[in-house]
Amino acid sequence: MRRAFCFVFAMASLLVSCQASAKDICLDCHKEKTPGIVSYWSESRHSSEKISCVSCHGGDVDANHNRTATVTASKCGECHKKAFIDHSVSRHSIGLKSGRGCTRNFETSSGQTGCIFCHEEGSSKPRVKTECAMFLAQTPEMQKQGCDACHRVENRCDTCHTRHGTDISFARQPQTCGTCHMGPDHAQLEMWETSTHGVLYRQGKEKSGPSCVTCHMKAGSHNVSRGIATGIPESAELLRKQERAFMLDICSSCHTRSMASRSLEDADMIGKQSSAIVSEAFSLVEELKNEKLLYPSAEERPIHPLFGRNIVTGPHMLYENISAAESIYFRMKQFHYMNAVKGAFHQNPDYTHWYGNAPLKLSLSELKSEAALLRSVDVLKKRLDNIAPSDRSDDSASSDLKKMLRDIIDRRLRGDISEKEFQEQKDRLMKEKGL
Amino acid sequence: MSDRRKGKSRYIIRALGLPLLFVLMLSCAAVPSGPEGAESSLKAVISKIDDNVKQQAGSIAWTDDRSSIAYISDSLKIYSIRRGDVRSTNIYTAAFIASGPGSLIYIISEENGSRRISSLDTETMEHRDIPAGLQPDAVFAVPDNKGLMLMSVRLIQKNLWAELDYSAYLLENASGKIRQIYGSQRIIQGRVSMSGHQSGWLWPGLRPHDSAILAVEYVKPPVIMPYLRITLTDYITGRSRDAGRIEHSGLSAPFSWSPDGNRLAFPDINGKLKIYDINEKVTADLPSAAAEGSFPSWNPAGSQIYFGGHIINSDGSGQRMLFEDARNSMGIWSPDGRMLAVVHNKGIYLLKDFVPLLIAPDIIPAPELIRKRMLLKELLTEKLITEQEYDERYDNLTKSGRQ
Repeated sequence: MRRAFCFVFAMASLLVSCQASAKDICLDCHKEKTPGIVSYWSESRHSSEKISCVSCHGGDVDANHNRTATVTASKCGECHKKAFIDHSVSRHSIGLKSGRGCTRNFETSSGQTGCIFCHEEGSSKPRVKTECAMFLAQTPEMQKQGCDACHRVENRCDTCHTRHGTDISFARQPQTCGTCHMGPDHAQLEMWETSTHGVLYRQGKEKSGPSCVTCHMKAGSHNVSRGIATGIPESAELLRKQERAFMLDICSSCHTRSMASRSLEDADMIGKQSSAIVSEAFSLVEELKNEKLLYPSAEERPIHPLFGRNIVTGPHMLYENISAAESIYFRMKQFHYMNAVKGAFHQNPDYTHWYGNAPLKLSLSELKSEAALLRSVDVLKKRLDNIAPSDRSDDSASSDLKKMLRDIIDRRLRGDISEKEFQEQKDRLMKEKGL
Repeated sequence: MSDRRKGKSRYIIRALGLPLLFVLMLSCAAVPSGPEGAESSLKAVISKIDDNVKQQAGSIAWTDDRSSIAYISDSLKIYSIRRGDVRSTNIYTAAFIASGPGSLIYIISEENGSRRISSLDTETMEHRDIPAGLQPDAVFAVPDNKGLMLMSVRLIQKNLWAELDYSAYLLENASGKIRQIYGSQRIIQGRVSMSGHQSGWLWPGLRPHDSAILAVEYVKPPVIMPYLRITLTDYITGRSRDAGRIEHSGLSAPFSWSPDGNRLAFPDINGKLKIYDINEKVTADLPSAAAEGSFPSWNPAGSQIYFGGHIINSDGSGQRMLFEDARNSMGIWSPDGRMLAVVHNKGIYLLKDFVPLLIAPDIIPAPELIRKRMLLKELLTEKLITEQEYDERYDNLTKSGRQ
């Protein structure tokens, strides 16, 4: 009986093993070639739930080997429906939904699937206003590593979740968000880490302080935009109030609602004040552009990927081959403004003030100074150009005399010659010139 | 001249629509004048350029190459001497014009309540802005293309007095820098005429063969007669020097520099012509000059003065009338003195083919002497010589130049 049982068990095991091999045609090879990936997947819930390689990557071995069968969010969404829907309406997928992401959102490197993000089907006419000039100006390597590595969150779940593991604790780590939400353009990780929230979190993890997901992914929602009232148009007042109330509900678990409300209102005001400074800078740069005072000029710059031979200062502004004034403005709107506003919303006083407000105002002063300088140089240039043609060279005889007089004055001051010698030499020079 | 010929002349003149007697014009007769044996000819061809022209200082200017006359009518217009045609510009608000090098003229115009300085090439009609950040009333080209002199006067009329602010700035061509040369605020009791002060300040322009502007200040002491204090301010060194006083009961007067820069012609309070010598500091009456006028204008030879519709020899003799009813007319000589443009209340006239009187012309300083003076001024400005050295050497140069 015992032997019969062992035989049946062995046959059953063999059958299961054979079935698994039939399903996971990848594993045999990948166990050898990419053991880490296989091991990571084996320990995941996907493995235990029988979600195989083919389930996500498809069965087209050639396509997979040609790296054209990447797993997009829509694929994950087939099972993780709520997460996918939440993500789709959030700012994480804004490029994909609005079309503003353009080429960086190509699901494949070629073909209709990619083109229709930006163009009307069968036409080169843009379907929506694209916003990818900065991306288009990069090298392919920088596009991949510098742009797509973050912006692929628009249609890729593995940006936060890793590719073959399913341990959600990875995605919940603040450092995971910090892969993209850090640095000069939006330093949320640093702001949070050095705020009271971050310090408390470091002391006792989520039990004592909030992390990113506590406030921005309430109850595991993948709509990371919930509760963020900034960026919503003034006209959509109701929506703004709803989102603010959503966030205050989260704050209320630790703070009084009124205290949290005051804090966020202060941040709102800091946002408006900072925005006014940036607007002033924008107007100044536009004026300089219209006055043709920006160097290099449009003709001296490489062609803008979207607007051709034009100086672009709007959303499609580049940060290369631009003037000093534009550079100052770029830093203001992309870095200092962000630090001031996001610093205030993340309760970090130093970022709000010294990394945000102070450099924002300093930069505006620099920009005004630069504008004044450019205008005064232009005025000077116009004066010199337009008074009358002139060679402006000093008469050589008079310049020689002036040079020699300066020389003997210097020598007298140094004590190389006496007062008497100085006068004699001076008289001689003047006499030579008939003076 | 026979009655028949006079009648013919008058007929021709009236046919041209001229408001003048113009007795001597077209007569082709040499008119004896001046010392014995000297002759001057007033043989000239006259033509009317325009019916409408502003009668004020700076409303007309010759180009330095004598090719055109620019004048302010309903807009700025350019009369070509060679072609005999008038071209209009789109500068409708020109307020002051002055000649520049070659075919260039400089313009002060008004735009949205502020003054604008520009240049216009009268050949190509190319118009260019010269930004200066000032609100000048007048512009003058500094000789040798050294830059522009920008002058202005502002009047604030109070109930019992008037405040007048005079200023002059030098825009240097070499560096584009602007330096204030002169600034003065004066209080004058009662009500004053802006146009009179503007003419008095702007009409003389720059002193010939020097680097100086003329400032005239009305002084009314309690006991003695009122007078005009004359000051010369050098626009290179910035130094001012007293050039004497002229008894004059008017608040100002439009002075005209003699071409050698040593004398000033001006109308007295009755409109009679006077000559002031700034070296001797004496005023010469010219009893034989009976004409009355407002804007004297010395010809480039220094021998004749256009004044109130008349041509008068600079010693007051040989007065001949060109225009009737022309007390406020202005005569602007071409740079070679062979043509005269007259701004009259009936229009603007051009007298061509003048043969200037060659008796008692001005003695123009030698170019070498002028160059040395300028060099001395530069040395002083750059602090390479002291003020005392400058004064001594300048005087020595002047003395040697006279010998």
